[in-house]
Amino acid sequence: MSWFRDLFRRREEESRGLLVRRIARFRRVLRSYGRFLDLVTDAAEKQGGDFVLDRSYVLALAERALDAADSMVFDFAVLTGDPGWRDGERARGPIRWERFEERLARLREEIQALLTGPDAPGSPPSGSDEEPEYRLLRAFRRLAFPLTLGEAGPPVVEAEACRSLHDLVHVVHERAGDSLAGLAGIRHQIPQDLEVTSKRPGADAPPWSRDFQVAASTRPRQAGVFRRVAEIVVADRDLGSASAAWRVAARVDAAPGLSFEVLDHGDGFEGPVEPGAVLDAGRVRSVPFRAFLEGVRAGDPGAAAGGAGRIARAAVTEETLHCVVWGPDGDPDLLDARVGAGRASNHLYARFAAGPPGEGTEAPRAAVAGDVLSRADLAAARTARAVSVWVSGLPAPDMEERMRLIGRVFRRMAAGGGPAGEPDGPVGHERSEHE
Amino acid sequence: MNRPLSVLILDDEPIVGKRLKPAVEKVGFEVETFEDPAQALRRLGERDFDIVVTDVRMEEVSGIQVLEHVLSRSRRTKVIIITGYATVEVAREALVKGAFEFLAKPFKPSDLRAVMDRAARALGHPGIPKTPEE
Repeated sequence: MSWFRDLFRRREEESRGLLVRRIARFRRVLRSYGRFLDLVTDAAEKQGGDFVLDRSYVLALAERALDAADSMVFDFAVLTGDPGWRDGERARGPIRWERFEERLARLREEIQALLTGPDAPGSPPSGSDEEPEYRLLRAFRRLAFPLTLGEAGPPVVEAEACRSLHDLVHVVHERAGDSLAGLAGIRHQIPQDLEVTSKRPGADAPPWSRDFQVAASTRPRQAGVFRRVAEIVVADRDLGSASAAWRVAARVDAAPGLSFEVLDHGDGFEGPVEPGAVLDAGRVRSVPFRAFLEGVRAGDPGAAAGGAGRIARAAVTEETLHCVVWGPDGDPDLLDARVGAGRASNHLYARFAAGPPGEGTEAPRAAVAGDVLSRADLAAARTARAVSVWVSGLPAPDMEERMRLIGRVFRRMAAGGGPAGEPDGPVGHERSEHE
Repeated sequence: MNRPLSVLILDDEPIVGKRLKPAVEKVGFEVETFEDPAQALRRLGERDFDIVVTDVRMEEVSGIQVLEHVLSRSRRTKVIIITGYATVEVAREALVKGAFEFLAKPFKPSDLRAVMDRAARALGHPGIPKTPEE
């Protein structure tokens, strides 16, 4: 029946479109996160005292850091479209992104109080040799930039626990990755008995007004709120069909026990690709994916790829790769990269789930990822949940070199992850669904 | 023997003059610093300087106005614009109106010395000798 096929095809196309939009949104989160980390590095360098800086530098620094955080929280909201309800029950208080917004608002107040106050709290006494501008910078950095989510902290951090701006943006970027990785499994249900309140009396009710009002009723009224909520709801309504996108994925057997379902969003492969086709790695045209696969296969180039094992998912274009491998306890390992001729837009972001703790103080997976990647000039942040690494702005050959390294680490993680390559690997998506 | 070059530094943030004065004097230039644009303009009316370093964004007078004022009196003076709010538009306007160079804050004193070295050479001065750390 052609109408039936058309219906499915249309659903798949819509799903692919949604996936592309969400990946693009995730990249915006990463871009803002990178911007924030650059500010942290820049401010630390300036604090060294070798610069001529004035108060306006500190004010501009704070403004840019808050702007990056604000963008991240907003993009996270659009990405998740989470009204805070799951399976008919309220998910731990108000909607997640709103809690991040509230926390951000409080941090903003603290920062503004610091910058406009007569004395910078926690700073050296005004009688010290340090100039006031440097004292202010030090106080601002102390308030906004420490990452306090140490390895000993709880694995899942709530917005309220974020003590600094850095904590907040770190958690937001982690949650954004979670959201994207778990796209196919996310469900949202608005309970039928929910009391909704219109925040805009007399306004025409759009088709999605019920969702709109739910979101608006828990959202502070401010300029732009309706535009924002509208976008969130659109994303949310589309969410249910997201898993359909992967039905047309091709498969690349990368290494023994590790295969990738791959969606090509533009010139990711040589030649036309049929849905469900099993492709040789030689067909991969995507620059970052090709380099990544070279790293994955580097350990045992002669071994036969494929076989029973874990399925990872990747979305590629000629210059981009977004990939997820499910790790231990359902936490995903995540990779997002752009490698092209335009050096300025190149970036590489990877996150490895820490996994269960070992006998020592650190989880073996986290130790492996941290040790290997710290030798590759990648900025790294470690928390109890994950090790995340980041680099941007390098020329393509340098990015490819790092992609190969990341590929080797991914392979090691997928094979068990511990320093000695423990046989018990993380629970992942079994290949049986494709066989 | 060359006479020492004269430099006027104008920035309403005291820390800028405080930091730059010793760094520039160290290379043998004569330096006067000002935080008040009106006072700086009065001084510029009294004598010509070889190099003027001015901030862009100040309360009463903008650095661009200072630039125009200086060049209307002395075309040979090299004006270096510094700002914490660097935008392409401001940089373009400054350069179109005759600024010698545009420097975004924060910068290292050595960055300014490098620009001053070029300005000095453009004025026929032998320039600034390199320090060991440069």
